[in-house]
Amino acid sequence: MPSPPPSSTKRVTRAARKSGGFADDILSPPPSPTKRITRAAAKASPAKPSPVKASSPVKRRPQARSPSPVPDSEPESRDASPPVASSSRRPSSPAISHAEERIPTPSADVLQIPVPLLSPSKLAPQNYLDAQKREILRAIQNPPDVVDDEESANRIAHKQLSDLLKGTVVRGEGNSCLLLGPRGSGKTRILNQCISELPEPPIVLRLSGWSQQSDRLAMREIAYQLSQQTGRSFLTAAEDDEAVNEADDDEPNPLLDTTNPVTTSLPPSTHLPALISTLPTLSRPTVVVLDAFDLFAQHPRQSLLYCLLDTAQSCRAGATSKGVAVIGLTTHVDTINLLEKRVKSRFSGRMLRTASPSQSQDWVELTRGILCPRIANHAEVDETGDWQRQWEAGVHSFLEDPATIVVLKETFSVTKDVRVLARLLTSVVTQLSPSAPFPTSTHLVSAAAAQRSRPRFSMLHALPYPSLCLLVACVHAETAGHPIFTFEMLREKVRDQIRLSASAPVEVNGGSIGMPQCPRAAFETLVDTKIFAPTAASSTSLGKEFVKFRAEVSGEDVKRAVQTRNDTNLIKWLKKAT
Amino acid sequence: MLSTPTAMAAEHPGYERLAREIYSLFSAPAPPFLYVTDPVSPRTTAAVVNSVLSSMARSSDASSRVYHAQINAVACFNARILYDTVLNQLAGWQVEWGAGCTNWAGDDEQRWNENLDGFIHGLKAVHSFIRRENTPGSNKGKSKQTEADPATDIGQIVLVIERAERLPDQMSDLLVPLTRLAELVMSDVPWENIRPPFGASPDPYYVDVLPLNKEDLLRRLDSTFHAVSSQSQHTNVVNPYHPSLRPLYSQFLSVLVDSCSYVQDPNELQYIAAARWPGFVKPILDAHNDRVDEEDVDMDGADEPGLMPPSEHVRMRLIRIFKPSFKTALEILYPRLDHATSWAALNGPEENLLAKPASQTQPIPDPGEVEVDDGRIADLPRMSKFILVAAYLASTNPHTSDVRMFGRAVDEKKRKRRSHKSSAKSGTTKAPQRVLGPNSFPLDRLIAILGALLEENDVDQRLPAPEYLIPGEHTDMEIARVGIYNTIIELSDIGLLHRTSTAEKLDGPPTFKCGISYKMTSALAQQLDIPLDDLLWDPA
Repeated sequence: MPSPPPSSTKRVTRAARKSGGFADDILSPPPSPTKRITRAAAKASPAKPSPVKASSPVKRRPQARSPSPVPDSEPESRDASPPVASSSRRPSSPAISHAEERIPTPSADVLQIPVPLLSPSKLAPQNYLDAQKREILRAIQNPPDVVDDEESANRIAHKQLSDLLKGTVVRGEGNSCLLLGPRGSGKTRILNQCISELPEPPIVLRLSGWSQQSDRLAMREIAYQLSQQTGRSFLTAAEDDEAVNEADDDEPNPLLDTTNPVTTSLPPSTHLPALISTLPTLSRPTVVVLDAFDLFAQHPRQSLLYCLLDTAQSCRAGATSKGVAVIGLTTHVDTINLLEKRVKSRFSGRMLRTASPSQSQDWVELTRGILCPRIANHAEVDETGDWQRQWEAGVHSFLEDPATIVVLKETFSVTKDVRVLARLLTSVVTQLSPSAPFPTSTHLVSAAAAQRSRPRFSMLHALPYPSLCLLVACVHAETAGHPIFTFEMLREKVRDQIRLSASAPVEVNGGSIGMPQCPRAAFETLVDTKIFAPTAASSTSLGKEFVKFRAEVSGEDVKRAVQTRNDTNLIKWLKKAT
Repeated sequence: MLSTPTAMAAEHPGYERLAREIYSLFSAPAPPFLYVTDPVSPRTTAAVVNSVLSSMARSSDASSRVYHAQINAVACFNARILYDTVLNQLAGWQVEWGAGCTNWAGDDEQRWNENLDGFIHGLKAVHSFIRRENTPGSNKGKSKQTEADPATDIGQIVLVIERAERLPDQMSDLLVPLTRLAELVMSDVPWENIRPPFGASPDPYYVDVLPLNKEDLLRRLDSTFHAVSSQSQHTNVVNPYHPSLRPLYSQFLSVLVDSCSYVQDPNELQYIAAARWPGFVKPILDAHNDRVDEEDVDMDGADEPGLMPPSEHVRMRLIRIFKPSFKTALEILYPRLDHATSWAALNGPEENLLAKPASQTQPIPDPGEVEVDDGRIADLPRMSKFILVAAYLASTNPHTSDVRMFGRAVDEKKRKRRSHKSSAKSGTTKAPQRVLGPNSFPLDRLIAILGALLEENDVDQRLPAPEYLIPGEHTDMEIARVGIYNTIIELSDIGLLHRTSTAEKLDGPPTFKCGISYKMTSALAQQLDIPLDDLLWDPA
């Protein structure tokens, strides 16, 4: 991609100034900047330096103005990088080390960013940025484990679970356990990690309570997955055993299949014990993963759980049989109480808990980890590592911005779900563009507005004019004591209002539109978007215009929408007493 | 390079932001579940998303390719159709009538549409199918994949579900697995409305699409002119989409968008513009053809004069002439009371409009109030019209008011209407019956009101019948005829009356409801010369 060097040069300088600007913001409040820095440094990660912030504008400006010769600046900048690296290795006393570093770093920082300006041939921010974005999006899907605490719940769960699985795989034990934890706390991830770390790959049967809604479906899926992983057919074997002359699914009888799909394609549930009992006899140990475990407990008689847990319990370590592990994943804390007595008595009672990061500081670290993916394998794009350094500096100043921290903390106090953080960061990343390549707190704020705890009807103001008229009319109907209204009621209100305001005709974009002529279409839009909900089923004997509706929006929503729209007529009408 | 975000954004004027966002989301492993909301024109948004995704499918880098299936939850109204449509689209399989309409079956001739598990196995099969198709000839691309997950080798599989708000109604079992699996859903309904209970589905990554502002709308509409004009190869044959008319088209659009300013859906505006534009330029084309005909006498067709853009004066004149018809077009075409071709034929300009002096040209006539004429009442017999008016009165007036409204007291002035001022003290006013919909009434009441109407309005039109001596006896005779009952049944058969009691019920009179609107009733009353508003208990 050909990129004009001069323009890109400008771009990067602007970026540099911007990061400097943030430094200004941080440093400008009078209460001693040093204190602020120390606090920030103590609060911030031990893993990252904070030299960018330290680049005081006083130092920077003369540098920028003075025509410093090119060859001087480059070596200087190279020299400057070692202190940065050293500082990242957790200095013993952060405050002092930063105070010391403040003298060398400004020059380093200022020069660190302009380096690529001086080698314009290499610079293609678009490429770098795209590669970086891809890398980040990938990291978001699989967030790095940043909590170094050995005592964290996830670490413990990971250790216990891998011990348990090892017991099954190596020693042929029958095990069962539940992995409990809130959504997004890493249950599946821990399990997958544990399975992939096993010395010998077991047969993994993955079932989900959401898709296998009955034991028959679950059984069929077990048979399918077993035959995929072992190369033997279990479904037909089971059927042969029972000598049921049922049509198999590859029987070419489309008519029969379409008319009665479930009964012909599913084996009867009496096959279940036979199928499950084959598990220990397989050539490899088996791990059965039950996602949404609580839903399996809703199945009649819990026969699948009974069979699985019974097999796991009665599994004897020996040369002939291999181990079986049943792992349930659930968010339901009292799942164990859902189990029937006979099922519960076969369950080992082992419950491992996972948890989301417990401190807002962890979120900051996680953000950093996501934004600066550790395995940055775009060496082909970025030979020199200049982009890498710039990017890390950009992320650093992003994370030092108090506004960023506020948003992160707010979000954390609302929900500890890491997936919300992932959504926020995805939005931030998609907002990056070559002209503004580094994340800023404004990006994050707008992301939070769009992705986190959204207002129920955020787009009301964007509706067409007649729809808004109808909404205002329905607010008036409600204040007049008719929370349930028909289309005719609203239409009459709109008509009266337009008649009243005939002296001040409705104007949009300078042209009078007069009476909205298509209120019926507008009304149906509102019904389509479920802003109006019917209160009773429609009947053929009732005209369409007399079907009773109820508004899902409140007067406040409409008020906000009208104010956003900033239409004088509507505002006046809304304020008018009925 | 075809699939740069800028090129892609340029293809969708007005939707650059969406195109960029979708592109950058899908150029890497995308969030597992996206939810796109567009309250105004979901179809356009869906088209944009699909075209972005399909241009990403042709990407040179195999790892960033996106294979997508686009389905509409209205069309795929049950789970099997949904499974089959998705798999066929992903595999690029065309269902053919001749081949027995078989679905894509993979290598081992399997059926995937049995249940959700089957569908997921089918997806895996399609995945390996795509990978096999791609392995010869395509390298893995520049960016090396670190994780050996085969899913990222060939890019991503995306399901685009339009009108997703239908899913919870029709396939409520399917919604949760799909959101845990599928990639992209779009709808004009906020996600909060279809979110399954108990937090079963993960929350999506939201993409909101705001309606276009005027500039974007204009750019978007304008760009279609180019698309149409480039389709016709003969640039020297004059047609309404001749390239030299493009500036005029832009001006036309800007006026049109202003007059239809409360329509924000580009599709609808496009429809209206397409209906109006050929008529709008017809005077120019006519003038041009005339000029060609005159000059054709002394020169052969080889160097036919090109179509010149009209002068500013002509433009202003055209806009003045046609501007009233824009609003008519909106009123007729937006609710689809008529279709574009027929409307354009009805509202076309006269021949050689521009040749006439400016004083003689009138604006294209505004047909006035849109007549929502129901063909059912056009040629009803006179008695049926009376019955319908009586039915409307019976449906809207409270039955306690009949004596006051229709009673033939000595003093005609005693007829009292409901007083309107009594409303203030009691907390809520009762909504008038005419907006609440028709009440049902027994047949007897209808007959009684009909009698009152006939006595008031029909007596002087009857043939002389000297055998009836008592006043009103003739009317009593008329309303007791079998024909009246027969007409009532006929009217309820064609839906102008609704029978609310069951047909097999024997005890008590049958009950009915009026099936026509106030507008139609007042039209009928006008034909019969009945003062309808005087007879209404609570007139508008």
